[in-house]
Formats: sequence, structure tokens, C-alpha cells
Amino acid sequence: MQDEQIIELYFARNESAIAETDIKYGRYCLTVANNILRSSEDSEECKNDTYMKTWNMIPPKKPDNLRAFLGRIARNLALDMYEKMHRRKRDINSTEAILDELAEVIPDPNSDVEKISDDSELRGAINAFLGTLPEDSRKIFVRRYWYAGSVEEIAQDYGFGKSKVKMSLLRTREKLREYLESEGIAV
Amino acid sequence: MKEMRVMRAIGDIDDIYIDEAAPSEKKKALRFTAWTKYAGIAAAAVLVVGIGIFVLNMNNRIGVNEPPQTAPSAPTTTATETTDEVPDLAQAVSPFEDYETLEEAVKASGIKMSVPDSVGGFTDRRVSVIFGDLIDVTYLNGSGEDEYVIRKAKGTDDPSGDYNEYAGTKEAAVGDYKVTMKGNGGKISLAVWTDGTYAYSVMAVNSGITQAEMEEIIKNVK
Repeated sequence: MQDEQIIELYFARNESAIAETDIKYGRYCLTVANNILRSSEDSEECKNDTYMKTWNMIPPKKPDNLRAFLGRIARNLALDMYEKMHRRKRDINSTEAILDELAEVIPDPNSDVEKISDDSELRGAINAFLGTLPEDSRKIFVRRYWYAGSVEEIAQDYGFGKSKVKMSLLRTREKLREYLESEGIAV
Repeated sequence: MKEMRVMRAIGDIDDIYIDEAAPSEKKKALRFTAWTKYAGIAAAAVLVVGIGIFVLNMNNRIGVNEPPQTAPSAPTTTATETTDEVPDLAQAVSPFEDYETLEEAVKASGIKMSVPDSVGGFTDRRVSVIFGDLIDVTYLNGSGEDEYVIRKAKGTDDPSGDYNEYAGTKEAAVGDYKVTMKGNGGKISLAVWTDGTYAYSVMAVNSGITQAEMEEIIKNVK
């Protein structure tokens, strides 16, 4: 079914919207959640919550890109769940590793930045930065830090060696930190 | 925590970036899969999933599970509406199920299999079961790329999924089996044989090997 038709079902408050969403994007939502949570049970819960949230948001929202819309909700819910679990000291090493890597992009607090930037400034800067990257580097970066994919998965999917993926990520993190500093963004 | 703030901010990147990096559902290159053989099974699996979802959906409506308050109560679809369009196979079904060890794959598929610990000096391997009736053991090189693929499947059809055209084909007796070997320039890239119940294949992915090297691998595949 076309995305537009699925969205029409949501607008008509027709419950089959959820079944159709599940058929088309269920595995996608599970992948996004599972990359962060590494637990099929929690990811399943996250997927179902994604559908409920989508049901409540459409209407009034009318997403231009249904897949990205669902993925974003699933990712945010998974991060919420991750934070809750983390407080309970549950072991989610792979997401911890990703967060450790992201610590490298945070500009040096002693650098010449005037104030802590607000969320929208940070979001805008990251988006603009992605536009400056070559396609391969950008895809690798997004697969790692948006989809929380493992280096092995990324290497396999794009047909690169693992060392190439790691090197690309390292360079992109370094570039992002420099970019944020040059834009005067502090985290 | 600052890292989480960056992680959240990355969540709001443009849709085009999310789309272009979306994970593919298949786990390896299509040329290594006996795709045509499995396409029909995949379509059937999609239908089963579709029907399953529909049944679950109906259960919800008849009150097996209490529907959420915000959800509507009046059913408005029928089975034909739910399943009238087969979704994109690549999005709905992945034919590969990966396992940590060969023992787990054997248990899951019910196909007994043994393979060499090392092939061509490569020991790192990925083990998958494809649609429940084919075990695929892929030996990886230092860059994580496929070097050798050994497969065993129920039936007698060539399980390799390798549809490359090779210049040379010959038959060779290895142990009790008559093995068909294919390759270019005097080297062997693919070997296929059957014991009447199961079919086997060995593929050297990147460069062909000598017949003696191939025979040595075959002797250790059961």
C-alpha cells in the first residue's frame, strides 16, 4: 500500500492504518529500536508504542515521509527506554559505546564559545554539517549515530571493510567537533 | 548528559539523510542467493505474516485485548482489504537468519552439517540459515568480506546461488561423490555435489583455487 493511502486511513480513523503500517514498516521500526535497545522484547514494546504515538499524532500531523516519521518516533522512544534502563544499571554496552564516541564531538568547553546553545541551534548545525559531507561518509555517520548500527553491520551493508568504517567515523566526528566550534556551538 | 543531547539532536536530521542511510533488509549480496528458488516461499511467508497480523487485529477488535482508549472501536476492514496488496518482499521478509555457531544453525534447521574450522587460512565465519532448509557458512577475510561460502541444503538442486558464467566445467570424483567443478583459467571457483538427500556447494568468492585445494575442502564438508 502506498504511504499516502496509509496516511488516509489514519485520517479516516480506520484502525487498519496500524496493521498496514506494521506490514510495511514493522521490521524497519524494530530494527531502529533494536539497534539501541538490543532486546527483542523491549524493541517489540517500543514498536507498538510507536504505532500508538503515530495513531495519536496523525491527524493533525500529515508526514511527508512516513518511514522517516515512524523511524524518528521509534528512535526517540527507544532512547527514552534506554535512559530509563540505564538508570536501572542494565547492560546496554553497544549504545553506551555510541554515546562514548559522541563525547568526542562535544566542543572543548574552553574554546571560544559564548554560551550553551539551545537545542534548535545544535540540530540546525548538525543538519548543515551533514550537507557538507561526501555521501559515503554521511551514510556511514547516519547509520552509526541515527540508526545506532554496529560497525560490522555497516561494513557488510555498504561493502566496506570494518577499518574503513571506523576510520570514516573517526574523521567525521573530528570534523563535526571542528564545525560546531567554528559555528560557536557549545553543548 | 551531553552525549545524549547530541544523540537526541541527531534524531532531528533531515528525512533525506534518514532515507539514504536506511538499513537494507537483506544481509548479503543477492548474487549469492538462490533467489528464484526462494521467491515463492517468501511470497507465501508474507501472506502468512499478513494473515497473522489480520487475525491479531481481529482479536483486538473482538476484545481479546482491550483496545487503547484513543483507538476506534468499529471494525472497518476485511481480510481481502488487508491482504490485497503484497508488500515489498525486501522490506517484509529477510530470508537469512544468522546464528552464533554452526551447532545452533544445525539445531534450528534440523540439517546435520560439519565444515572445516579453517578454509584458505580464514577462520572468522558467519553462519546463517536461509528459509529454514539451507545452512550457509561464510568464511570472512580480515576486512570482513566473504571469501569462501559453504552451503548444504535439503534436496539435490544446486544450493550455491552462484549464477556466474564460468568458462570451464568438469566432473571429478572426490571420495564417494561425483563433484561438478566450475571456474576460469584452470582454477576452480565453484564445486557442487549431492548425496541424494542433501546438496552441497563450496564457492571461492574472490579468486579461484586449485582442484587439489578444492578437493581438500570438499573432503571436510559433511
